[in-house]
Amino acid sequence: MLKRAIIVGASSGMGEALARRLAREGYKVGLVARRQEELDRIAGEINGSGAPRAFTAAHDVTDTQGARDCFDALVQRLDGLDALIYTAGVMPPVGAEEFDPAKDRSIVEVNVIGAMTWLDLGAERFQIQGAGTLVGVGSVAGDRGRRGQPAYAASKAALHTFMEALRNRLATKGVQVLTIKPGPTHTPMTADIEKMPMAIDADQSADGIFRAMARGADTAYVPIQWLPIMAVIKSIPSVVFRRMPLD
Amino acid sequence: MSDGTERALVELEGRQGWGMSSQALCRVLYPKHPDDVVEAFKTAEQHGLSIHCWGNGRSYGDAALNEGNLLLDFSRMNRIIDWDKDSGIVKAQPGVTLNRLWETLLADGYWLPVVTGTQYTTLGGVVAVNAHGKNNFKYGPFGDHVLAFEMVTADGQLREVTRESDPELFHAAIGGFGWLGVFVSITLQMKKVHSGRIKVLPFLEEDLEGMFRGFERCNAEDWDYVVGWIDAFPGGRALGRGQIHAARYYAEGEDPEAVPSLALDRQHLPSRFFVVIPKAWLWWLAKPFAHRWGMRLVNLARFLSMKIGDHDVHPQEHARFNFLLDYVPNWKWIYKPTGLIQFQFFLPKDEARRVIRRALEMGQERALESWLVVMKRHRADPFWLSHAVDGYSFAMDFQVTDKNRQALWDLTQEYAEMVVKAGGRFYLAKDSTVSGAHVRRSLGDSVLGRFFALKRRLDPNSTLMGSQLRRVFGGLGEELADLGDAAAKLEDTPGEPTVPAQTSEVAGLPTELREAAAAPTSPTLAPAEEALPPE
Ligand SMILES: NC(=O)c1ccc[n+]([C@@H]2O[C@H](COP(=O)([O-])OP(=O)(O)OC[C@H]3O[C@@H](n4cnc5c(N)ncnc54)[C@H](OP(=O)(O)O)[C@@H]3O)[C@@H](O)[C@H]2O)c1
Repeated sequence: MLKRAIIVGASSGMGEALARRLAREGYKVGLVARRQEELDRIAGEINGSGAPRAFTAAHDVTDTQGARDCFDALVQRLDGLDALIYTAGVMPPVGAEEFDPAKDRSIVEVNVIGAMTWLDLGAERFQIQGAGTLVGVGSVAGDRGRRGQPAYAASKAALHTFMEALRNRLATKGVQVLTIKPGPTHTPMTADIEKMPMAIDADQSADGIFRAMARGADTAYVPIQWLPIMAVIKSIPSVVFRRMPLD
Repeated sequence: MSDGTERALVELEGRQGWGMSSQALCRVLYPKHPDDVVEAFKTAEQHGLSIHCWGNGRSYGDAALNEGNLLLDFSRMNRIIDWDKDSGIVKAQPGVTLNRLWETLLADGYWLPVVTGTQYTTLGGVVAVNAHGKNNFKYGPFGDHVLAFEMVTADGQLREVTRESDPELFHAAIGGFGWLGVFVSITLQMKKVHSGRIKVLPFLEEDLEGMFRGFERCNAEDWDYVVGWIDAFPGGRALGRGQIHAARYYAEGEDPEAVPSLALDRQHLPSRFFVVIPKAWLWWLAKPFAHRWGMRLVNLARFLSMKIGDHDVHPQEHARFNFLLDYVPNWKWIYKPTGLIQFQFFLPKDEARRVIRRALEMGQERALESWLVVMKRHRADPFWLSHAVDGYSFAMDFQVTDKNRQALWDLTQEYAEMVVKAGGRFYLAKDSTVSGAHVRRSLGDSVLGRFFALKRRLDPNSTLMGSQLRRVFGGLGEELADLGDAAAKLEDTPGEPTVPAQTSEVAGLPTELREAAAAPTSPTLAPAEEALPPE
């Protein structure tokens, strides 16, 4: 009756914190990211001297062909699956006047294509199982097209819409489809960013994600304060929005 | 390859343990004939898959699951092959449910010698787990009434086994969880009854000591069935209060309604509660109480209602007495969506009072009281992986939630440690949490070693393997088999191993047990931790 979760993007930041949290909440966890040594470090700390709870698989989500094998092997290893969490993401710095199709593409490959690939694998399984939890980590950035990160914002908006569609397919089949919209969070991704209003740390973020999973939520802003703030921001007309000092 | 086999290889089917807290996707085959089982072994070999069996899905946890691999669902192999009403011997296929069996044979004056708390278990399932009933202390487990079985082993051979022809395989395969071979028929000695009813005596006890005294009294008075229900919520002087039901068969000519009571409509459970409420609604009516305080109230109400109820000996139909779990259809749904687990342990009689008292206290200290507790009396039996000891069992149902999951896990691990230290046992048929290290210390290396050595002889590639075997024993099987082979070389032992001494410490337990799961199949997949120390 331990639950079994795969976390894609588990080698740092929110994914790492969530892996530790789930392992403390009675889950066996399968950790996926590119850096094996980081995964080993985290799994080693989770497992300590007890029976193993964490298993690892080094995988680059842009290798969409290899995803299924990696997924199947981890599911075998965990002897089943109850939750799939996709938190891998990239947000390379983008200059104010920079337009770089290659960079944009690299963002979409991880944040969108990789997400769809893994979430599809989970969805296919959970649909048959008639149970399961799919989590996609989007961002408050996906709620509006701010000028600072066009491709990143668009990638998160795409993920939100994809998650919503999955939910509309799977909700009647007993599957929870949860969109997480984190606000600014202190992780390696944001280490160089100076302005981080209302930022929380990765453990607080993992707490918010775990609670949203446990209460069967559809969408959750983490922390919750972003819900009213984003409601206001979303309602600002475009002509006004573009004049606002929001990067 | 048949259509069904081809479909099973590409299409996965979702299966869950009865408690709704263990899920798996399996490649399900539906054998109709022993030849289909032989073919399944070939398919497994060709595709590198393992095989496990599914009866009717009544095991609470992962006992009947086989993630990603073949699952033989016996629902289409459910015929009664032969019935001789003079001797009371029935031969049937493993998929037949206990319900089908008693409904068919009762008219001839026979009842099942042992039944589970639900009648929807299958014959193959109860023999594979060697199930017990409320009469275990007197009639033993199901296996004690099996005369013979036919089993297909991994080499594709159909073996007919009796207690005499192969005592080793007989006592290892019954209660061997389908890990040695697949039953394709079972021959059972039914119990002659002289009425469709039994005499039932209910009585209340105000505390745990009273419950034990009640059981002892029933033992002394030679009742046939004894079962206790305990309210796990009250502490202090009322700790362990509950009710006992004792029952006894009618002697020949004793029951004036002996013949009419054999009729099925007399046996069937009532379809309405308090005359008007359809039973199918009950779980739904109980749902608002599905939390700690609600269940405290339900248990209290139950205790009080018994206080004012009837305490005289009264007749009751066999089915109505035995299948308590079937009274409220789908009662498990009150545990939705996260499900329940049952944790049942068996304790030698001298240790039972102390450990059970502590178990109840620990549940209360952690606000993890069981919502339903059942206590039974048992005797030891000669089956290799037997769960029963001369003593008591204590079965606790717990709601699993995302919030309490780890705390509940920790609690069961602590219970397991107490049980092992007290020389007790576990019952894998119902289990979801017990570790290989605990099972190993409880059964002992001598018996487990012999079991896995026999498995290696019969099933060298470990084709017979399910989610539970992987969870509990994992890679341990090989190590235990080595121990068993070594032991067998030392002493040329007879078939039936002595039931291991019910002591707490197993000599020679290595400090490091090997990694639990099978080797990773993907080259990119690395085990996070190679060593699995005992928990
Ligand atoms: N931090 C914030 O303020 C914030 C706010 C809103 C939303 N988010 C979102 O939250 C999620 C987690 O972010 P974080 O802050 O925790 O970032 P992070 O610390 O940089 O972690 C990102 C994770 O994604 C993995 N990853 C990146 N590219 C990958 C690839 N090609 N293949 C496999 N794994 C890959 C990384 O592992 P490897 O490098 O080892 O591959 C790492 O484990 C992201 O989706 C991010 O967009 C973050």
